Amino acid sequence: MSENNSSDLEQQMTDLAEVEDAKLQNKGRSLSQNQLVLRRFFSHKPAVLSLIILVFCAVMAFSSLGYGPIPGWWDKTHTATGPVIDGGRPTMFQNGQILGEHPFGQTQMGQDYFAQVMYGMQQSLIIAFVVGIVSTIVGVVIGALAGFYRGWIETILMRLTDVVIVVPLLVIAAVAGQMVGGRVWLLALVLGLITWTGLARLVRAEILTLREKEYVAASIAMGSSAWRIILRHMVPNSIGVIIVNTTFSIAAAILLESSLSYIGFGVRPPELSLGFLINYYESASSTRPWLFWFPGIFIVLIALTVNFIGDGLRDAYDPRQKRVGDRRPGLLRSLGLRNRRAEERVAGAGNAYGTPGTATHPVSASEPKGNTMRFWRKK
Amino acid sequence: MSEPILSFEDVRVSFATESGTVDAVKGVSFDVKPGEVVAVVGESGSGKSVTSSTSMGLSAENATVTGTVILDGKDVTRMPAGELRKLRGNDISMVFQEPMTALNPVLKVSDQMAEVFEIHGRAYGKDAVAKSIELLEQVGIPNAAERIYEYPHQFSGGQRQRIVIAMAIANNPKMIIADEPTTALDVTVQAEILDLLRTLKDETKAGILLITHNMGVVADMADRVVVMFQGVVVEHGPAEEILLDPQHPYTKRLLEAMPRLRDTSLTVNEPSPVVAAEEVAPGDYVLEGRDLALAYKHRGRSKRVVEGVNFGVRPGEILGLVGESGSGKSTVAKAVLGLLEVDHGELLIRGKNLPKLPRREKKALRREIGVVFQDPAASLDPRFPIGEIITEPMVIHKVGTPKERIARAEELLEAVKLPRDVVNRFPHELSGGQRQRVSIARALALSPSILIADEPTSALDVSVQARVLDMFSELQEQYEFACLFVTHDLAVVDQLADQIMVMEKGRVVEQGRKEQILTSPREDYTKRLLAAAPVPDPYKQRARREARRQLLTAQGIALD
Repeated sequence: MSENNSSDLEQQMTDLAEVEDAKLQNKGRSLSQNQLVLRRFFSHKPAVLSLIILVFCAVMAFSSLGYGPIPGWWDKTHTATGPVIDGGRPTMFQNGQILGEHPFGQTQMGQDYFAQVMYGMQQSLIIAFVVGIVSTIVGVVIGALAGFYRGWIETILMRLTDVVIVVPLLVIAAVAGQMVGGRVWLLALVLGLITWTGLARLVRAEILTLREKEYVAASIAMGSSAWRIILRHMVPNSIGVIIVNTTFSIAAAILLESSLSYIGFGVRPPELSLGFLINYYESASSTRPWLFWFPGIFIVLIALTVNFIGDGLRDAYDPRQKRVGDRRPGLLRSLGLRNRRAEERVAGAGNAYGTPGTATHPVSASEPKGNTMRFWRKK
Repeated sequence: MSEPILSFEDVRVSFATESGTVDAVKGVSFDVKPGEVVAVVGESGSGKSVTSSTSMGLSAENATVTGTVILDGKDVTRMPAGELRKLRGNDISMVFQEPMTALNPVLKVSDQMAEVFEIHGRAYGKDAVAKSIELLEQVGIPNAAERIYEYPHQFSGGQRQRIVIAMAIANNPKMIIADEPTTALDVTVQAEILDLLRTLKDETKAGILLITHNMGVVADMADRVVVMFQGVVVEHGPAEEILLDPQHPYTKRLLEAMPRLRDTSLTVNEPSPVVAAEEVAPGDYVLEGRDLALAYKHRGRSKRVVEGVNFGVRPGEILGLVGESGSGKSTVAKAVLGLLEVDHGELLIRGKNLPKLPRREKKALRREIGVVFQDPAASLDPRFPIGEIITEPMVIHKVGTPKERIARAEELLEAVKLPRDVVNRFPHELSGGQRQRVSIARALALSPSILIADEPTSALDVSVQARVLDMFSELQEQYEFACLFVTHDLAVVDQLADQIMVMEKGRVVEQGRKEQILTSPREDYTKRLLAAAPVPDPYKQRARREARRQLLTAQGIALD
């Protein structure tokens, strides 16, 4: 109703400035950029679903066994052995019970595998998030300094970045992992210190474009210090790039840690991680396949959900990706199972030239909705 | 009366957006006859570009178009994609606003022009290139046979627009849509491009749909005018009627809002008596440049772009710095703001040489300088609420308590005629004109004695520009700051400035009092600049066109 009133009013006014001022008066609550981003994020269904799953996994991992002195609700530990029941088969959803005695089964030595997987997941999540945070901090600092100061500072920092990039990641990670001797927090810190390169380059590029913005020029002209410009103007305005890449680096860290532990250079006993579990019980995978499947499923689940959250954040931050009504990505479409636009094109292609059914209207590569690769990872 | 070549019948376009459906065009009907120029005039949000894009089937994907657009007897809105492609570039073609981006920078001009022929099967290979060369000659590119093998960046902006026009007329379309074809160009180039379009119209007999916001361009080109406002046609009729005797209040306001240049007597060629420059003691200037030379450094080498510039601004006075793109006018503003180091000469602010001062004094002196930039979209940090934006200078110079700062922000918002509660809003909620007003409020936060305004209104719509300029001169009277006003628009300078300095290619061509420069310019360049600015009166404009022709001939500059 108010919509109609305001448009009637517009017609009576004869000055664009008046119309604009009236529109401003009629506006409701203001939303900051962050609030807008959050709103867009929460309308991205796959991302929200992923967030729920990830939070559920994390809560389950930490609450079941507890962390440090805090006790959990699961009565077994990952080290204690017990009698092997029914060949160690999982009891989940067996004989009308939901979890049963050993929901994920038991190892050859009779340890409860649910406890082991939960413990491994704790360690993997800790590593993933610490790596994400450390690499983000290092990447942002180096990228921002290089982009803002230019000159010799940039040369030194960017050549340093190049040096870190050209060394194969797995090799340097394996050497570093060997040195820290399997301690989880240290391993995470070290992995964080070698995976910041991509973000540093992205942040530098972002800062370079922000340098040319007039609000930065205005701030310099007002006499503000370099630190103020970097911290108040530049970093907050590149937060989109930073957050999105942090999520992707978390997903990458999960995989890196798994591969490292799998080849034996990462987490070592008495500590556990999901990758370590796969490595350790590899030989048993034919006789006791659940020992392989459960940690595997959780690795894939964490990496996938973090990736989807990153996708959601990217779409929410990227102003070019205008989401419209029913064009918001549904769950099926983002999984590639359904593509409404493709169906439309085929239906309307009867009169077009060229091969029937392949005609498209001009869709440029910059047009996000026209890009079928857009749910692929953007690096 | 001949049949219309293009007609819009009750066209409505609505966009589905995040916040619901937006009706951009609400029932527009008009038509264009062969050999006729119909100008669609309106400000941003009037729906003029959206309307025209329906005629090529180029609407955005989230748009819903109803009504009919008939091009040469065929309904474009119901055409399948394949038919539309055959139509585009053949029966109907388009000249875009931005010649810098309308051409592909990695392809030679020959390839891009031959493409137009090859797509529609008119000519291939060498034939297509030969035809392209003919076309380039027709649109006035000198030495076309050789230059066609160059890349777009090797041509000037005006030449690029000529190439775009050549491509548009390549297949003798019945209809040409020119979407703000001269907005991105300098006045003198604009006049040339308009001349070209006029000759081509007579030669090809195509109908031209000219979309513009500039009433001067309308007066220069159009046979009929359609005035649009908020998605509705408010008035249409012959150009003379609309421009000289507008009926609708909106059209009246639009014409009033357009800054006008005083009548100049350009034909007077005898040098006017040189008025002895008033002797001013050096201390009288708040801002002074002495033999200023400025350079950009690129890969260790520096390139001088401004040389030998002398100027002075007295307290409470506005110096209009006028020039076309590449004249170095913005570079001078940058140097005053400390964004560019002074290569040579002195830059005095209140008698102190800014580049030579120690850092602390430099920072203290910055309090005396406020700045308003050109681009309303980029001049405010999108993450700051308006209140913080306005108080930023106060925070930097540690002035006042947070409470006092907010009070000052509200006071300033009132001064720029924005409601007080805007302090808690964000830049993306504001329109361009409102943002520019916030920019001005920020510049005044510390009551500076000097304000640098770098094209503050050139990105704004005419009526919004009028508002901002009115407000600007009011504030200037109230706060009495001296101002360096950089602009390309002589009419704006006429309205605002006391002194004028005209720059060309990094050098000062002419400077003096506004009245003297605008009524009896001494230098050829100033005269050309004045002659090129169009006025919103078809009869006067015709006379001015003739005057410009004579002036150029007198100065020995060839016309095509």
